[in-house]
Amino acid sequence: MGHRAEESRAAAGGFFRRRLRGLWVLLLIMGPGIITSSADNDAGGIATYSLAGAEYGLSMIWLMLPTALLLIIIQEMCARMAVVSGKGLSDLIRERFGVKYTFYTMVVLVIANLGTTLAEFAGIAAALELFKISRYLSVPFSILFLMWLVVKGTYGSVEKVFLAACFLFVSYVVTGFLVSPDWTEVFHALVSPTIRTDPPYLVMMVGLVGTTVSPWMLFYLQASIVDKGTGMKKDLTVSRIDVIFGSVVVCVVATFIMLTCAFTLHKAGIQITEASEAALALAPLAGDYSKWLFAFGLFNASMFAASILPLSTAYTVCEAFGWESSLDKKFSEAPQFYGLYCFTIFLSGLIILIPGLPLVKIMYVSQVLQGLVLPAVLVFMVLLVNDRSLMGDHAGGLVLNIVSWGSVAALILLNVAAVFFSALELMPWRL
Amino acid sequence: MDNSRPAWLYLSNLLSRKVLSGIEGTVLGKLRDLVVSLDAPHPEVVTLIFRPLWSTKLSCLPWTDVDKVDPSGIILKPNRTVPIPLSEQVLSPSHVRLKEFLLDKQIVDVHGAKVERVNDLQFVQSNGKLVLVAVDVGIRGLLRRLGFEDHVVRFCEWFFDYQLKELFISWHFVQPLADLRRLRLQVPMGELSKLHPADLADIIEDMDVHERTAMVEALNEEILADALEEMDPKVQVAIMRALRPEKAADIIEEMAPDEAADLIADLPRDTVDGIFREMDNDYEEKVKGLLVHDEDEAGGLMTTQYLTVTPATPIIDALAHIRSHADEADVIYYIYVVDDQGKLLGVVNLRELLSNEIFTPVERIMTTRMITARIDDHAKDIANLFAKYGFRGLPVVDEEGRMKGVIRFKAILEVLAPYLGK
Repeated sequence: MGHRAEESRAAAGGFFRRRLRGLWVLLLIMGPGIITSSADNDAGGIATYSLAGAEYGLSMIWLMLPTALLLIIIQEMCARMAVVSGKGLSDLIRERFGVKYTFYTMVVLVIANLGTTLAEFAGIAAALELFKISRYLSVPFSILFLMWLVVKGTYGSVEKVFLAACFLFVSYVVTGFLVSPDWTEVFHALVSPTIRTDPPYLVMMVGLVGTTVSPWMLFYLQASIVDKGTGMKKDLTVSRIDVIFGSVVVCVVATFIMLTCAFTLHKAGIQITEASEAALALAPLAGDYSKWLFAFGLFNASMFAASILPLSTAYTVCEAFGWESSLDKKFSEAPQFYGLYCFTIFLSGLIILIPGLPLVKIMYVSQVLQGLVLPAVLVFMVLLVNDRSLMGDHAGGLVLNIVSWGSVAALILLNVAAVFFSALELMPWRL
Repeated sequence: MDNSRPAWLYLSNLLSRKVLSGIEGTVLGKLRDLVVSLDAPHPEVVTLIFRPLWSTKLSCLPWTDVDKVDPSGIILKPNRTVPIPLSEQVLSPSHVRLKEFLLDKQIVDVHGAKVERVNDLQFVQSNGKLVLVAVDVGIRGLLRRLGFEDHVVRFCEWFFDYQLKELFISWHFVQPLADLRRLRLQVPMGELSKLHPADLADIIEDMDVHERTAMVEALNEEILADALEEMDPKVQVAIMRALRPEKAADIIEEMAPDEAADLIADLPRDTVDGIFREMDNDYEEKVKGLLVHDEDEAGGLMTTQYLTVTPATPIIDALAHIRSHADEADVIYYIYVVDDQGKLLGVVNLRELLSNEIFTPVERIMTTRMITARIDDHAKDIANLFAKYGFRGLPVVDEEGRMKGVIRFKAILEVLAPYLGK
């Protein structure tokens, strides 16, 4: 009798030992929402938020409120589609809208993602140049590192290191408090929108929205939720909490980057053209070490996104066209997948090596590009989420529809205005 | 009309063609979809669905009303019937809308054991009938849909001297996945269950959750258990969590206990509780016994479904014992000789049993110098033993030499696989 009891206790012990390990893995994995959000504050993000703060002070900070709302709505749609349909976004676009729409969407997406990968390499180059490492050294080594990740399949463990290092962004929040801003002024700036129609301001708005709600991120997020999901109702609640939490975190960090830059760089009248100038924003916290802190944060963020973005691009495109896409396959078994991955990395890596490229500008412009692509993807998403044959009872409700179509309309208006006024500026008769 | 060469037609070319009433006739509308009947081995188009001019509602007509398919449009017979509005009732359960349920969707290529996406559908036209022969999963199908096929094909030939190949899967080997709940009644799953479990596992891994659920409902537990053993742990967990506990327990009982223990260890608590409640008590004991051990220790690698006999058993009885337990035992090449305390005395393999006189007691022919593993031996050491001695199964014993289980070569292979170069 005693023997049996002991045996069953031992069994329970072993069981728990195994379970504990499962729990540990779960903690390490965390939600796709928080991972996506961390990857969202990449080189392009840091550059755009810093530029916005330095250039326009607090006058753009209000945009983060509607953007946060948009981010939550859109990511929730992704989560809902992922759990209910069990399919990725490009998969759904292909099945619902056919080859033509899918093809052109993918072409535009690949171009935008190439731009953003370029920005990540620009971030790597800029960060390491602060450490006095030449870009002709850092970029080729980064390319080798990214290739090694895929070949060795150690992707998962490296991802966690990057994710942990994303904690560095807290330094912006701390600095934000250290500069002891006039909080009433900040609050006022948050709730009273300043809208200007000069092209640089409009373009900056597009960039801000584009970097916060990047199209590539939506594809990545939905794919990661699908990957974990079982198509059950309770997964939806978990995913919702996860993406809302992630969205709030990313927007808070973004707001604090802008705020910090506004109170340091903008007040001092510093224009950012080099990464070293952007680093000055952290001076109140780190003093002489601000350069190091900034460089390390920028490097980590860029490397993190650079390790996700080309993979995500390759997955998205291959999924849409039904090509083999898995890191478990050999090159000859999934040529399109690996081809696209290598193409993205090598092309953007090589472009960044062209002498004299303005790195910060590249980071910024790539995000404007994402912002311009965003409405197209959003139209597909809102149509899909309203498709009752696909979503069943989880199709969008009336209120959500008004908000989402309203946001899409506002975004299209913003993009058209930005492109129109910029084009007007460039026309010869204005000169 | 020239009937010597079969006329190929593609769905992409047919869709959005005009539907005309007679050669010079008026335009009724534009073709939106075709419906095939899956009753016959060669699915024939039975209905055409079109959108009438100035209307948003779809209408349909039987294919027998079609006079001929012309580049200018689909020309109807003069004595055709009146189009009826499309509704669920118009289509019988074995009738499938091609654009809605096949085009751009995923299918299983049963022959190549792969999940593919349908780029186009190929028909052959004979005697006024339109028969679905193959699905196009190649690059040319994609280009055809985009309207670039001719240009790209010609460019490739001129510039690279390369002929872009067609990639078709014959309809015989196609298992559609969209709307599987309805379709599985019509298309036999038989072809799928004939696949090697590892291939079936790959296919299921490529499916989305709903397709997986439908698939799991359609296949029997034995086949599923075999396939499940070959699957990625993440997918195993996803499938198990989505199943009813009874069904999950039934499937797990068909698995080898060591595989089952590995799977159960990865599942969330509430799912495990539900499964154990439904599980057969004997089997539950076995699995729980294995759960005590770490996954990379001998105890976690071994199976408890092996065969034992007493020393005095004659060969003929030992063979009968194998025969009667062959379907549930995980190890049948070796039969282990134990005393009444369960202490391991020796081992006899199948070759020895077959090559000796049938009334010989097994103790006379058994091997007594045995390599065994302890319950807490590490996988690495066990792998070395397998590499050195080249056997198929390694018995596991406790401190008193009592037999606890057998590690199969397969279990070690799974431990080693990640270290093998790609």
